[in-house]
Amino acid sequence: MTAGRVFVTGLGVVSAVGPDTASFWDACLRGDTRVEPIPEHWALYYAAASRVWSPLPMAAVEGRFRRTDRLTLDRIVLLAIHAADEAVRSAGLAIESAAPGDERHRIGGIAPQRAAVYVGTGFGGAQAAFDNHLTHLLAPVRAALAQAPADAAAAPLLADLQRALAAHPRVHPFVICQSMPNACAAHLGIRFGFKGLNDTACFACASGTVAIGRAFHALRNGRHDVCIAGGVEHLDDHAGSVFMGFDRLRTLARPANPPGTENRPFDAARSGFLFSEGGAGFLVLESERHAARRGARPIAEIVGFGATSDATSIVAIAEDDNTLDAMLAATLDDAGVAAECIGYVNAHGTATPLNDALEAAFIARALPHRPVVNSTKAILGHTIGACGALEATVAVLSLRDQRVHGMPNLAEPVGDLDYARTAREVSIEYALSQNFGFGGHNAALLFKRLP
Amino acid sequence: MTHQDILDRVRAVVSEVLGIEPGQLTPATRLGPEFNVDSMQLVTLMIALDEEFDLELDAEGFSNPEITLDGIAEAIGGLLASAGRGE
Repeated sequence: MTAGRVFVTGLGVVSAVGPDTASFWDACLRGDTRVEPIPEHWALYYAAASRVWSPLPMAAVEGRFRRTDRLTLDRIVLLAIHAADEAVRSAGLAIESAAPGDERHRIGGIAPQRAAVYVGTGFGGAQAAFDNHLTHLLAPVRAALAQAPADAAAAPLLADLQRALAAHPRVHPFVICQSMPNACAAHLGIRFGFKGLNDTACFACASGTVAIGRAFHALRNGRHDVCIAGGVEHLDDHAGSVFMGFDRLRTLARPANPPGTENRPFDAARSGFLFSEGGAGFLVLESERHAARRGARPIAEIVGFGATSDATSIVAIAEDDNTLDAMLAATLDDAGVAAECIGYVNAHGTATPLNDALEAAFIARALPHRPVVNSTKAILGHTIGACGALEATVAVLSLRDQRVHGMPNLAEPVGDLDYARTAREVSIEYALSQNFGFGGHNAALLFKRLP
Repeated sequence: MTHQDILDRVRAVVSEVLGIEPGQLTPATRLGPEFNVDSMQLVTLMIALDEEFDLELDAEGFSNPEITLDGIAEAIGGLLASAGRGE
């Protein structure tokens, strides 16, 4: 089958600044952020250098699910379904509601074997594993915990462990189904009856980017008609284990004055990334023929995907290597587009000292025609496996509306790039969204405006 | 809480979780053979009842497809009584 064009026909989002695409995009353009102190009880387990995170509107998400879903699916799966539902509906695909008690919703007008799911996630079901492991350890000593002598120093910790056990008194019967990394992709396939490839991309902070890229290539090659593709992350285990892990690596934003300004991508005073509770972004990607046949309205075209590996460090981005240049070259070659056509770069822009310095230098070197640059992490902080998909969503919306969002705390920029400090009107044909993940994964997507 | 009160709540939860009309459910209804309820669904029912009554039901009982609403209500009544939360 010949290579065909691939369109974005639907979008769905859950983010700290809004539980759907419209509220998320409005918040981006307004420069709204959500920065709050980390849960107090996390301090019982570890004295972290970072004191803030960006929590999700979980009540709004969990509240729309049936009790059966809430009780059997881990919260990361609820996030994935919430965002994917919106993407599918916004694409105009007809969701036939399920029977009561049945997880499965069918979609009319598609060939199930030609419909695929591509999910990127950094940690997958790790949170379910952490929380169930805590119950696994504590349940046998439940009585001893309740009668533990009140050592003044240990009392608050023991009380917190009792609270954790009360909230999760039994190891979940479906702990394996919840903690396996492919849980989100599998549940999206089950929910929508997509029987083609069900793929989980695990590329740390580039997971969502790679998931979308893989779906795009498979669609272009004629393997599928339609895909749900994106990224999801949820990092709120009881003891804040993942937060602590990133803090130990010294990657998280340090306290700043005034409080609330800790998150500073591409700013001279940046100190690390704002830890996000997570989020989800899903796109419906569709072959041109399939979209035309059912009268779908494409939002943008996806035209390029390229990925490389540093093969240098498990954490640090390679300093004197050409893997980012090779990533960009592969993406442009994939699209058959020249570098100077790129009008907008949605940068990885984590706000770690090393990433932003190297990324700014890379953009200046590779794209000297000065495209407008921003980082959506200035709004959301870092959503790890979801960020590539949320940022791809921003690239698509920026092309659609010919507007880019600003970066609220950018005061003294790194390098001489055309940063969008505040939201502005733009005239752009192509938008690049790039992400770099722990493990040395570099990936980029190129989107094109549709008239 | 009387046995009948417990039974009524169990019937409501069974109906919600398994999608069975309450009118089709009697105390003697055997969920496995009569409604094709599988082991995954029985475990899901168990955790929903855990939440409904704020207790921890014995997983062993829910591995038997012959389980009845009356049997479930009896097990719940027993746990509530031993926790001092009975009638």
